[in-house]
Amino acid sequence: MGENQKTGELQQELSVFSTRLMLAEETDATGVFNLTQEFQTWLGKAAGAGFIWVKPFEDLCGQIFKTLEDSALSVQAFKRLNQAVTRASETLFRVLQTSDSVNETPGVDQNPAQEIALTSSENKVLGDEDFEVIKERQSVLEVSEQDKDSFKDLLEEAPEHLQSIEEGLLKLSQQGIWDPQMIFGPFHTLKGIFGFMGFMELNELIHFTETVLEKYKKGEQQPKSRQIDILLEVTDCVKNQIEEIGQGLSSGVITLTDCSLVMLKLQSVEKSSLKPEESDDKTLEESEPLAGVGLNQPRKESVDQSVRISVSKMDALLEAVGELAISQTQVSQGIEDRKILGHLAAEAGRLRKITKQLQDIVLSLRLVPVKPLFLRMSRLVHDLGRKTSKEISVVLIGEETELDKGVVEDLAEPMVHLIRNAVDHGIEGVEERIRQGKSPKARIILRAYQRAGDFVLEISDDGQGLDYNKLEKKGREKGLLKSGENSDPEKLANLIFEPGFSTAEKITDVSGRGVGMDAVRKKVQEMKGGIKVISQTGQGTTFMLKLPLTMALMDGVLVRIGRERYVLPAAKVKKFMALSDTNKHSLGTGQGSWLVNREEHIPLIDLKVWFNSAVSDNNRAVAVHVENSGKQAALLVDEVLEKQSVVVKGLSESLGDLKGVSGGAILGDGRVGLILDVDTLVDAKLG
Amino acid sequence: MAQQATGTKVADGKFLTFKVKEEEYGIDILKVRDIVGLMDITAVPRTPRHIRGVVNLRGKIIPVMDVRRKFGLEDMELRRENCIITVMVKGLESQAEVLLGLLVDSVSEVVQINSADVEAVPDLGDMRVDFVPGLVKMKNRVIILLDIEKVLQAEDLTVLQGLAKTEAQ
Repeated sequence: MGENQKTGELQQELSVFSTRLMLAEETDATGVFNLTQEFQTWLGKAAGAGFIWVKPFEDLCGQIFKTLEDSALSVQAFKRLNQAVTRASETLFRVLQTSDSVNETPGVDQNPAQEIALTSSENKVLGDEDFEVIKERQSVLEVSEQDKDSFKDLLEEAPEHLQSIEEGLLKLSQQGIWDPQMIFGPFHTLKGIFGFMGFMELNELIHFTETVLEKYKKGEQQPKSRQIDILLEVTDCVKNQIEEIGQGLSSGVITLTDCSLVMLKLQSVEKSSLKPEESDDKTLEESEPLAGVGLNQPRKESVDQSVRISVSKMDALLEAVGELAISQTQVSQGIEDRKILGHLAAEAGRLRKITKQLQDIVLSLRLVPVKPLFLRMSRLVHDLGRKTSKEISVVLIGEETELDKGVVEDLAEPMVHLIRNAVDHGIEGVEERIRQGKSPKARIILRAYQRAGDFVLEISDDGQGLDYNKLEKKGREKGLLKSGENSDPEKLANLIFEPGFSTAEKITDVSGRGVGMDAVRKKVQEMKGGIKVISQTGQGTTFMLKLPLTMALMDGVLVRIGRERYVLPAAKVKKFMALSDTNKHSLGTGQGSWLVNREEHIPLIDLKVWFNSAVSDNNRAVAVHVENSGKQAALLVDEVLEKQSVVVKGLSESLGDLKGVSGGAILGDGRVGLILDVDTLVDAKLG
Repeated sequence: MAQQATGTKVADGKFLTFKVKEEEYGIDILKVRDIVGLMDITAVPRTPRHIRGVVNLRGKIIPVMDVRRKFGLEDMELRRENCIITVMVKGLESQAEVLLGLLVDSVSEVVQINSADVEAVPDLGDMRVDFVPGLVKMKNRVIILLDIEKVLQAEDLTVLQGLAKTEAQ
């Protein structure tokens, strides 16, 4: 039948078109113009085929062209075009669903374009920044107070299911391991949740996804990469919708973005996968793709129960426990001073134990595993790999390592930069890799672990590594290396963190503008951490980020310098040495001194000199041997007092950047003790 | 209402007065957050002399500026009457408000000041007076009004903002 064939053609064209639209650059006015023209052509064809409902869309195109007269408004125009295309696809989809007759108009929606025209005119008033929020208005749901809470509860678990799905998909795409359990259970649970909440569109979308996936369920067959991509898109779509529902719950009105585009893509996948292979495989009946399948699946219950607490409440708790610890110390001190024995002293001991326990628990509350962050990054590698046509697998090591929640959130930005960089500059194209005798599939390793009170994150790729000759040349050009200055690889490698330094020859869509690495270092430093790069030309590059485990509580060693007490991070302290037990040596004026202790030569830093503190008795002086990422120093203090866990506070920004001091801590007696910044102290001496 | 900005105009409003050496000063009450008795101040190395150090104000660490030192007056022995007035001040660069403690000899009272009673500062030659928006005569005393943000800026912006360069003076 010519008619049917024509309809199929139209549908396919629109599907292709909408995919292209997704890849288009919204700021490119000419591009948007051309796309709009193409859409117009398609509308013409559709009208020719008898689809009378396309008429309003043609008017809409006119509006878009008008908007495009001002090229600054291309984003706005693009959004409208996107809306229009989505709407058209959806309508077409519905028309074809209800009947194949082209003459029938969609019953529900008499004028599908009208709504967009309406929102578009609203958009005009609202300005560009509001567009992200508005999107296509599809279903608007009002929620009663009573439903709100149960909805919230249901939604809480949704991200976990999505994470499992994403993890499963990425595992397949990157390691070739197909674990249907990770996908089917969560999808099914999500479907149930949405069904219960009355979000039928989402329910249907997931149901359809399940249907498409049906044949992979047993694990004998695996989805192809194109299907994985679409499934990831479905996950994204669901994720967005959950966010929107979440937002909507606070306002009482839920506005959902339309997800028919994804649905359409799913359909195309399902069709294409039917044709070439497994044509005998009974996958699904085309006539009723939404038949009940998979309903008998067992629900996958999550094992550990959890309660969600708001971060502000947690911080308040932490603060209160900190205060409790202070007051507990004072009580214990008082009991000791007054030489009170017996019952009260025993209770004070118990109080201390409980307080310590409480502190540990509260601290651990703030710690979360880096796994979700790692998964986000694997996803990024996947997407970037597609974009640059490179084959990359991601290996995650130590994803259970825990880190302060705040730090995890801040870590995303520098990681994205580093990964983009690795994919774009580090990893070679497939042909190049083969030419060099490397495996065509590149590898990125994300590794997390704890070391000496620090959290360490490594991002390694097996790409081309740094070109030290190029770095040196560029460094000299930019005047970052003095002529005649000897340049060791470490110094050269660190050049990449200089502002505006880039050896990338072409500026690509992904990276290469020379702003990234600079921003990365700045961000890491803001987080009180450090970054290092290790690279071997031709072999690959590793970025090593070192961050403090937590910003909240710290085990400290209290020392006295002059009249003041200072806190040293206990994790950095190796040992204490009485000055009399060691041999002190110095050059000339006594400025550069070092200690000899068990065959070791350790540079000595007299903190009193560093802090310009009044010189007092030096007979009890103790040298505290500290180590920071391999660098050592002995810090000379007047007295070592005790070990105490302290609540770490930032110093007021009004004090500016204090060298050698990383923050303040409230000590047991309520006074402030400054925390010594071992990193800077050691570096200032040796670096 | 008592939003005195630049210029010498002072709007009607309440002022907190305090003593430093023999003089009595007044600051806009809206800037004041707290008045606390003298507490242990932890010296912070490598800061200007007039920054006495930091204190623990209910779990927050805030810097304390010694007003005597800031005005170039000699130190006095600290007594019970000494107070720390905490004020919320705007930083120049970041525009973010920061808490700052002012160490003063003693706090006197809160007075209502009408703009009509405010007199201009006499010409003191080279002496910089732009941080004094005016003087108020009351019975047999004179209150020197202070624009606390300008006081901080007077020579001391480096400390307050961590800027590299010093503004003016």
